[in-house]
Amino acid sequence: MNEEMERPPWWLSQSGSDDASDPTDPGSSSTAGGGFADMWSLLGTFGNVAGEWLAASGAGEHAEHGDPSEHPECMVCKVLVGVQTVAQPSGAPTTATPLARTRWLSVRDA
Amino acid sequence: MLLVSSLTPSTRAWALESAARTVGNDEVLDLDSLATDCDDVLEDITAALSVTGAQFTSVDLIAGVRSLREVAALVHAWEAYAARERRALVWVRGSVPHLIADLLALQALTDLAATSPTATTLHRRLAGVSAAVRSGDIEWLLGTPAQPDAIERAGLEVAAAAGAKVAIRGVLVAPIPRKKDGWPKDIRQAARSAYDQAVMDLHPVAVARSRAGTAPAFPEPAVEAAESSTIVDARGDRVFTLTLPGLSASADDQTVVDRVQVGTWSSDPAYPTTHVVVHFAGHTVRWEVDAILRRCRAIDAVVADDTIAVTFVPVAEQWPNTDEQSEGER
Repeated sequence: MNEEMERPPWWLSQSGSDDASDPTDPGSSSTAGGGFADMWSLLGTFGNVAGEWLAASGAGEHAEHGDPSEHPECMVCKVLVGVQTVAQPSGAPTTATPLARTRWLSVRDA
Repeated sequence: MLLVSSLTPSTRAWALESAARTVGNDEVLDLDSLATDCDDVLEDITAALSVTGAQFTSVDLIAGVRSLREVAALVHAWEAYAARERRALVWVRGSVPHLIADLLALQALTDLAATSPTATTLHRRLAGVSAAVRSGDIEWLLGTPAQPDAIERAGLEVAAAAGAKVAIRGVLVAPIPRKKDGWPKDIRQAARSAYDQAVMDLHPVAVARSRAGTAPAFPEPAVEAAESSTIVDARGDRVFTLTLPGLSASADDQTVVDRVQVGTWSSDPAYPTTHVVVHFAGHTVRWEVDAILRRCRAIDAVVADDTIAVTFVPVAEQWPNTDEQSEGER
């Protein structure tokens, strides 16, 4: 069964990616403001980053990048790191413990 | 506030008509319209990332941004409209269970970052909406065509919503194909049979169908559709059960046990288990377990129709001695 693929997997709501919210990188996105201003400013950052990135002709190199946090020079990786740290603003004290993965059980019929 | 969604565009009008009759207000707010300011940004992102050659990554990002936008729009709808108009109707183009799941997941993430001022503000706003969902101040009405596969899919959506403790006002089934419109007998019978089955399978969620060109209202408030319990069996094992109406619905030949994944998860490193996780048809339900199960580990899962049963055994390190175990059970 591969139901994880039925919906574009996203780190917020998909169980298979519970550990994706692991805040291991302090992040590089702007998170000024409060509450949802964070998200909207993040979206604005996306727009700017996309423009910058298009201007940079080396964008295709991203396809070879595995861990986004290891490629701070890559605009796409910067965006991805920004997404992963939306709940962990830059400079904020890190109190989070990495989320555990779901432990799946063998399921049998009654 | 009543969220209204439909499995197909053709059912939208029926669902909205039913919703308007239900709350006595026909002014509809489109969730998408609340975030139009960001459409150009989303288009930029989509256009930019779609040429990278890294399609999987770009899909992740776009889905994530869209979901953030929808969650933000829901918060805005609740804060700006529902506070002064309790009968507000909000049309949601996508899946309401997914939207609520993302809302709750984002709230969980802000829990982890709650020491920062920005996360605290965000957490407070998300908590306000999720509390409204849990209290029934935000309800959901789903429209579906009178087609067997669609009704089955509606059942799965209901199961997911029930697992998120969404108050489900009702499931509206569009008119069943009629003989005088030229529909073959087998199609008419299949539609009627699927509707009758849904009425039974989705209980206690109200299911009604449009008749004579009119969509009915759902006058009764939503009831809590999901049921859970924890018991200690004769062997001393703890058995957790969760019933999600619609879980056994299937639009294919797979049995429920082949389509449902069951697991456990912990949001607190001090305990082995804080939630039971049920994954099916692209939905993930995280159900917080009773305190007695937090120091236990799941060893087995059984699925029977709409009910899952998970057997837990105590984790020795979490129960230093018998006296404490007895105390924990009290």
